[in-house]
Amino acid sequence: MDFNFSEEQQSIVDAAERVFADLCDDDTIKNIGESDVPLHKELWAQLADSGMLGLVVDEEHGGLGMTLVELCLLFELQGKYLAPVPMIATLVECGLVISGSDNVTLKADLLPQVVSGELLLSPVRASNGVLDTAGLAAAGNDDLVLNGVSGVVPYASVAGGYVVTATEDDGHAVIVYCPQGASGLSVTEQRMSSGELAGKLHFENCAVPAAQVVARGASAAALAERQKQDTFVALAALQVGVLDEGLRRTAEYVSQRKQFGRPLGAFQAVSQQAANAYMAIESLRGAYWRALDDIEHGNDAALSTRVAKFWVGEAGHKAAHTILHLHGGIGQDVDYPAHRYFLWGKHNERYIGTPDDMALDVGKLIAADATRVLNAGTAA
Amino acid sequence: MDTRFNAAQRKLRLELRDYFKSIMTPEVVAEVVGKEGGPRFREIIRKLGEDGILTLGWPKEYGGKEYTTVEQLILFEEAWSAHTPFPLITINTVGPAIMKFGTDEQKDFFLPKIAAGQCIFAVGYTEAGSGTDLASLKMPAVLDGDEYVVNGNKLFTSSGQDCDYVWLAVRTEKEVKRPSDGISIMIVDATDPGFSFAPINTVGDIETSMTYYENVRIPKDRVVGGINRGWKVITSQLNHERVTLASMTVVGAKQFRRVVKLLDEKSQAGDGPLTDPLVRAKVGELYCRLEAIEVLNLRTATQIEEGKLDVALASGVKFQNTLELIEVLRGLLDLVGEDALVAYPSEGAIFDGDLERDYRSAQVNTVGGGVMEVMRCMVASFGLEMPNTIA
Ligand SMILES: Cc1cc2nc3c(=O)[nH]c(=O)nc-3n(C[C@H](O)[C@H](O)[C@H](O)COP(=O)(O)OP(=O)(O)OC[C@H]3O[C@@H](n4cnc5c(N)ncnc54)[C@H](O)[C@@H]3O)c2cc1C
Repeated sequence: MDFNFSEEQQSIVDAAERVFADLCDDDTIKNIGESDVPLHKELWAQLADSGMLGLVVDEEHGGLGMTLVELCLLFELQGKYLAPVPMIATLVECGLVISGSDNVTLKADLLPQVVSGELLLSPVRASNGVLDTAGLAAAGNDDLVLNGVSGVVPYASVAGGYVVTATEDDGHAVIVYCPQGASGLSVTEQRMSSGELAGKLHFENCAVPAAQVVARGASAAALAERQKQDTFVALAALQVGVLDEGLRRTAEYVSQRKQFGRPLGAFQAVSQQAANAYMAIESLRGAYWRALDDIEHGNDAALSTRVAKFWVGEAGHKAAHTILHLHGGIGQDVDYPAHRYFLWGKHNERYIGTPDDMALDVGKLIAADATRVLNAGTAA
Repeated sequence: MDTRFNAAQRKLRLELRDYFKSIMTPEVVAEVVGKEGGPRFREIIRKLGEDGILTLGWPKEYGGKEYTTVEQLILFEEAWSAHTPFPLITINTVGPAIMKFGTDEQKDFFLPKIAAGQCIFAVGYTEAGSGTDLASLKMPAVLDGDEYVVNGNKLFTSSGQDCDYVWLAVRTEKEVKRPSDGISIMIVDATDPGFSFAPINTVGDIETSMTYYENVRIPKDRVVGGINRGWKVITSQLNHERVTLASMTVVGAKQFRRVVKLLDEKSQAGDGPLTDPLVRAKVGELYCRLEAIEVLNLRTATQIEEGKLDVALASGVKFQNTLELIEVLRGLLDLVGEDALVAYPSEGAIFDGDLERDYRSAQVNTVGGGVMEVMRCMVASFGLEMPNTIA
């Protein structure tokens, strides 16, 4: 067994860390968050320059042809620096899906633009909230027409295009590409609790030519499942970065601030809470590593990626509240950075599935085939 | 990244599972479960000794097979989930300590007997006034000619009621800078006329004892690691003990498999419990918790194997996994419903009372092997560079 990233994998992000450190100090992040378009354009450009946006794009399309493992190390950095860029949306939720398509023309058109940083992409799925239950419907034979609403599309207002998963009349999934400005598509800007940009998308008889179909039928279903699995792991990486750094800062704060003549961290009630948060994060890290291991080695990752996302929420909730609480009053002050770790932790907890959603999904998979867990020959 | 058991390790697990199952028939289990002594208990341990099972993790020079830490974890997990009497403390605490600190004579005398399953040690550390703060222990050992003489009591001496020796921590020096500087480890012969015991029954059915020492005489050559050097002997075995403790969480996975199997069988007709979303969500949640428990255990075991133990992680795993295990067992009780707490030997006891008993005994590890509060203090100081808040 090996619970480490390899030196090669690590070395790839070492260079990226400098980029984040230079461009994502607390003041910059705060200022961007307060601006009209909270998007760190300079960081995005630098990441493109250093080849990071092409990490998992194949060499044929100008990328470096690496795997999700290297990319996850980049998401850990994004979390650590709370960098407001649509990295998971563009590279995983959309980029990897396009890479997995059989539509060679579309790939050749879009992927180089992703690598160069020109094209930001957003994933669109049917809302699963209580407000918009209409879903996303696709109709037609070769050319399709989209109708429906999607509520929380990350960075939708700044994206150049959307990878949309919809349902056809026969109940099958279909994945299409839809550029910004397509007729019949309107975008209402929204802001998430974390301060990040999002959008609500309305499709009203939005025409999608056959050339923009990413996948249909069984391959669309497989690609949509793959998209979920990859995204769950990516979010786990991001969350590890957010919570690690948030808790590290918290520990530093309580070790230095004194009340009653001694550091706050010298109170056992404080150390106990910090330790609980620490171990919630370690549980997440373990689940994240296992899921990544499964993906890297081509194992069935349907369970382990959902387990990882479960822990994104579980650890996110526990650690995020501890980070805020142990900072006392200043933790509530939005001029001070602590609250951002809380908000990001909570955002990641819910995005594309809460712990309850994951538990139910895992339970469904086990109910469908109990031998998955009965005959494993391992501890579980 | 490679986080899963490999094919050889999976095979080993299944072989060990079959082996322990062949010994631990339901009748035998009923006879020995929770026991720390007795004729049947002894008979099985001798058999394990004859079959070479006890020392699979020991170095080759002491007759072992040098199992890796992960293989040892598998061994203890399978022994534990089959309720096999396995003298974990003797094999995994006392044995390695004798290898490291014992004289040649002590090694030659004790290790072959331990390996053969013919020699069981009890550990006498805890006293009425010294539990978590073990270094404060008081029981004196006084030199009289060539022997030390001990008088006093020890509390919670597991196996004390049926052991051959007691691995005893005593005070040999009172005037010391740190209390831990005046402690020695000595081996008491349980046939000494001054040694006696009284059973303590515990809520988790784990047998333990009060042990009494009245002018018990210990020859000088039964001191291990030197006079006033006992603290090092005690703390040096923590890594071995971590593997022992980690293995105990396996009951969660075992009971999960059983409950899922039961629910699955009841659902074959098409309308059983597994069609209920609440049941599914609970099953899924417990699986998520079990997976995290497993990976944390494997990370610690791998670190021990590589000699790179992260103290914060290892201390944290102790409390985190204990609490998660309790949560998992609680969830399994919820899933089986109102029969869950019917106790053996009542007819309605589910899995012959095994789930009910495992739930009851899992809670002991919030205390045993290091109380949770202290483990958390260690996480904060080692993992987050916060002040040490133990005392
Ligand atoms: C079934 C069983 C088997 C055992 N077997 C053995 C054995 O074989 N040999 C042996 O020597 N001992 C054995 N023990 C004893 C065990 O090691 C002790 O119970 C343990 O060390 C705790 O000590 P204590 O019981 O005195 O608890 P205490 O020290 O009195 O602690 C009580 C509670 O106070 C809190 N607490 C304690 N210290 C701190 C602190 N620093 N900060 C914050 N909170 C704190 C915790 O909540 C703790 O649970 C066994 C115990 C049991 C129950």
